[in-house]
Amino acid sequence: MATIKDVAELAGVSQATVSRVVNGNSEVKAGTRSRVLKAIEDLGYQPNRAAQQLAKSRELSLGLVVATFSEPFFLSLTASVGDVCQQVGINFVTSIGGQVGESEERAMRTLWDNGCRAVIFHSKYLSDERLTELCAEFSNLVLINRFLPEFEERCVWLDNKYGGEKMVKRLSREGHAAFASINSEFANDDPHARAEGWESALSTEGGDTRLVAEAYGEPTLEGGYSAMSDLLARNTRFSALLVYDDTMAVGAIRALADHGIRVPQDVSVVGFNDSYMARFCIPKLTTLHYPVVQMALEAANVALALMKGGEVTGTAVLRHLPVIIDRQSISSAIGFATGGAR
Amino acid sequence: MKNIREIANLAGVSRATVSRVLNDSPAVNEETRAHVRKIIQEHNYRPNLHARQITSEGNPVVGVVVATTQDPFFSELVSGVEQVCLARENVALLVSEGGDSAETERAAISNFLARGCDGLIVHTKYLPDEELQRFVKRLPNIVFINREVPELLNHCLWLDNFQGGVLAAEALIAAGRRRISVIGALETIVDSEDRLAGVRSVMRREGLTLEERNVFRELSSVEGGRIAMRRLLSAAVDCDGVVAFNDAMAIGALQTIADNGLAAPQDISVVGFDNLKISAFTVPSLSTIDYPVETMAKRATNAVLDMILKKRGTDVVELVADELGSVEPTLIKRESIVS
Repeated sequence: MATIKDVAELAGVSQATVSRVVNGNSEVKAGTRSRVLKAIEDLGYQPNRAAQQLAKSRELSLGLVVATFSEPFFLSLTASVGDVCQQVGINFVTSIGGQVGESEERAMRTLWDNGCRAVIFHSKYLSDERLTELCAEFSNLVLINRFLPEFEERCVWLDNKYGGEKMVKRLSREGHAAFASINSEFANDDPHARAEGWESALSTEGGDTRLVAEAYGEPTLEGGYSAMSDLLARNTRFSALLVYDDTMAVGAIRALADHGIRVPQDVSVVGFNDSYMARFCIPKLTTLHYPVVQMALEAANVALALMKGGEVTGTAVLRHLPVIIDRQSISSAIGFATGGAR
Repeated sequence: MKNIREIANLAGVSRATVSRVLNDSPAVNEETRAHVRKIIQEHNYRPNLHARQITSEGNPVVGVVVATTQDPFFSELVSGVEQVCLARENVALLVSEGGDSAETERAAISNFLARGCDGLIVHTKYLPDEELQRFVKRLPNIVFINREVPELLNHCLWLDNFQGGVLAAEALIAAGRRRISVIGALETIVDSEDRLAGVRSVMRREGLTLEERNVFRELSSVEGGRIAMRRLLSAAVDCDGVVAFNDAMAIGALQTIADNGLAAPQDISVVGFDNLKISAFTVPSLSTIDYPVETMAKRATNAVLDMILKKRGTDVVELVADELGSVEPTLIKRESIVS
């Protein structure tokens, strides 16, 4: 089956242009349009007409794809989008994306096939390339927590890099210079962006600020525990620990305790997300709050604007920043000479 | 695994033609259709299933009602339901919050029934037995987790909370803790009362009394546990062991203990309830009563799906009986009771 990418290549245009032609957007030059139409014919490309027709005959529906319903984060996202739909009086349909790109895409397409006029998509596993193709194919697809330069007006995203920088700055303020980090070993955007933020802020601090050790693991309690154990086995000295998220942080803190290292007296720890893990942690975990509710509302507004057949207005807040929540897992580095982890 | 391009090449036709054959389009002549079908079969080709998984008639919709979605216990419950739904394929799942009153629980269940859910897994704390019976009359494919309704035993899966309370108190006694206080749930719910009754029965056996002033009730959350423990310490109650209603409250209690420069278990032992995944990772790690809610949720979901799918005819009662009924709690020994 020819894809929109094939059509774009053959016609020598971008996928976004093909999308505009298919959707009858008038802002395409006549010459370009005929090239695209010819490519479509040559390749036998079938846009999703069935879904388009189906959608016309049903009541307005907004779809949301989340990875799972078993994590509060996604349920919070679901509840917020659901609230907006209820206020506006439209139907709300959800679908579970699962743990791989294929199931995510399938979940997304199911919503279109069921007549959704717009879909908010939280994708962790699809590549940027594939997501770009999908955004070109579906003009009312809104992404949450992914950023695609080609479709930035449809991306509501958390600036994870900025978050990573904040984590370092918070610890530096307390005088910490010897940092260690624990990150997720999964190859998606978030771990990479957070680490970029760490690196960038660490080099900005200068002086004797440095990352002395880093370890990786699954983003689970056990993963945090074993990554911390790995790190401690290396006998490097640090007083500040940056962790990918709250869950890994709890695991790491447990591993530190098993080595006789106290938080925050000996090592200060910062997590990310402000999930229930942060609240259940002993000591209570300083972390970055993930503004999921605001992001969900924004994504819903963008989706509604697209459904109304308009362009996304300039007032949409697309880039969101996490905020530090100070709790109990950080202490001053003064006195580090006697404390710290060795 | 072949893709459509390879199938088209092998058949000597265009991809569009293969696509039309797959979609049973009339615009393909019989010979070509047969030929392409043969190739497809030989190479075990399966198209990208996206369009085939449209929810059509016959695909079950399952609803799950939990008190709140922002809580690890209920996350584990929903996870169990979700895993079964995903494994069975083509089962749609909806999640709703029952909230903190009979009114909100009733609304959540009614809403699901109005939306045409084929089956429900429900965790309800406030609705009385009679109402649950009325719901089952409207939609028989319902399983209640953590309710034991005598008239609805074929629809109930529950943990023996009384026995859980017994085990928790016994663990403290075995560790030599005899000045026991309870951090209980403010909400007047069956779980809390049953667990408390279990604790009381052990204490009576030991010749001890549990006074009402040694029972500190707060909302069953981490914050509630923190507050209850703070009240306990301020009241200068003579206490060396605490039974908490659940892990969340127990963890809150441990946080307060640490904040006050005390140590658990050395100064005060603490035992929780639920065996949340995090309970193994707290400092100190939390001794608790295992509540295998994820497994129970899977069993409940299998039972509900069996009820739905065997709607036309066969005796479902026996089939689901295996999945339902009572579950025995067990004690998980960790660090928070004894050094």
